[in-house]
Amino acid sequence: MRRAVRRRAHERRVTAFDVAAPAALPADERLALEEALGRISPGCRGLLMAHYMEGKGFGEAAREFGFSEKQAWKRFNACLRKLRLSLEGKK
Amino acid sequence: MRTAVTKHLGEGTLLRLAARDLGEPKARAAKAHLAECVTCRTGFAATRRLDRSLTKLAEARRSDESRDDFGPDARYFEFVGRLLDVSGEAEEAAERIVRAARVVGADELAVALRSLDGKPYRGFALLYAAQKAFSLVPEDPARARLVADLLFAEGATLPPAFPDSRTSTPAPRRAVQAEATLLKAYAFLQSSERLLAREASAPAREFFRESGDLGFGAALCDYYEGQSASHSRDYAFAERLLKRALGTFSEFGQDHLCARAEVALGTLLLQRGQNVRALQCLERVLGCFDPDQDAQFLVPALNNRAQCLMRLEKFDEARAALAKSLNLCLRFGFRSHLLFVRNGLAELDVHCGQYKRALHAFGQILKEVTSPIDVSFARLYLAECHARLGSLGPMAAEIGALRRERQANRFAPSPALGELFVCLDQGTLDADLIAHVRVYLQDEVNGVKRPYRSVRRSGRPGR
Repeated sequence: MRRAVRRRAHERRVTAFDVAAPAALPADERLALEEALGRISPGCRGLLMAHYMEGKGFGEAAREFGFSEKQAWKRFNACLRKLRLSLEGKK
Repeated sequence: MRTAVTKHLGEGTLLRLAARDLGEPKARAAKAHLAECVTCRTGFAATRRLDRSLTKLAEARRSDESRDDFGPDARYFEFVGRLLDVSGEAEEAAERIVRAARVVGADELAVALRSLDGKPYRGFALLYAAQKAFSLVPEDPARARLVADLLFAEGATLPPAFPDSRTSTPAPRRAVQAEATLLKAYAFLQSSERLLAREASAPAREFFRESGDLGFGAALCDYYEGQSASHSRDYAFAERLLKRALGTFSEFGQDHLCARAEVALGTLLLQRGQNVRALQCLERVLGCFDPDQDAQFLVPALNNRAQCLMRLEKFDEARAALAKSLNLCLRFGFRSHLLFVRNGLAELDVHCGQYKRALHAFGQILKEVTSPIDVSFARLYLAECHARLGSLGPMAAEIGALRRERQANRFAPSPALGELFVCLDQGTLDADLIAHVRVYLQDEVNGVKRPYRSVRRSGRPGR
């Protein structure tokens, strides 16, 4: 009977609170980063996500967004700077 | 002396260095420059931090997606294993919190809460404590409310949830606050503060939604709000909420909660005066509760079943149900249910002609009850018992006291009480009239609306 009660309590928790995979990034840091990404322009967000999420090289990601290889670093720099400012709450 | 630095490294170079994208000679030159230049070193650290954060964010997002696409992987199981370890520790900590709340004062409770500071399972412990504290409610609703307030305040310091990205932190702030609010609503319900219970359910629903609830938390809110609405005699709304909760609990395979929702529906039917249907509903689920583990849910089910049986004039069965409930109340210290059981047993004594015993029981009950409705009924029963025992003086005294209290009670404009007081003045008051008025008022409280049939006009009612 005790086991049944424990199982019920466990079921309730599992159904009530979805179990998530581990996030190496602390929760508050992730929230801040997600919010900062939401505040920068869609072009910058797309460029950063193409590199970090899809694993594309800087050049390849930049080309996908219509920039030359030479411009890629400039664009990445600009986007990262915007993201950093956004994170620091300056924008 | 430091080497003069005339030109800082470009951010592109810093980024390429952080991403290990620079060729060997350029990387060596950049590193040499970094060793000399504080500004570039700071910039490089910031760039590298951001690069790492974005890499980790991408990993976390990929991890979220892989759960949907391919099911759990080894990392997921490893995480669940860690979670179960944490869960065990959190459960023990939650037990300590509830024990501190149950046995000792607020200081010990504060110590138990502070002992969680800095622990990785703090969020889970608060969540479990809020769930476990539901067992405190039948014992001491006021204490349960205090615990709910403390847990709510503690929950405010937890990290928030991420419902949009489908990632839930182990025990997000809103989940703890939702459970704490629900606990408070339940405590209000148990203290017969129906309006406050309904008011408390609304924010709980919102907290559950913000915590990324899948519908289960909303069903719990439906369940508690449905009960509050039922006690507030908003029957149609209550039935809709309780049936919705029952459907969701059933979808989630929560048999125990299904049984509890059925009890709430049975109580609703009882309050509507549908005694046979209520009895069927309550008897169907009684077997779902274990007397040792589920006493707090079994007791109201037994009490309401006894009420049904009493109204159907099955007095022996009603007494057996109340006796069982009384044993559980005494064993587990359910003070909030005890008065209901004692009241039920005293009513049974009246129905069975045990007037002296009933007189003693209602005398005790009158000293303890505070609500005007309960006071009125206790006085009516006392007056009836005195009348049947031939003590006309004490009978008149009880009805006189009832008249003095009429300004404070909700039956003030009732024609039934009007007739009672007229008969008191005329000296024609008797036990049958008091019983007639009492039955009418009980029906009125239970939501059965019918015009009052005057005894003086229609002759004496038969019993």
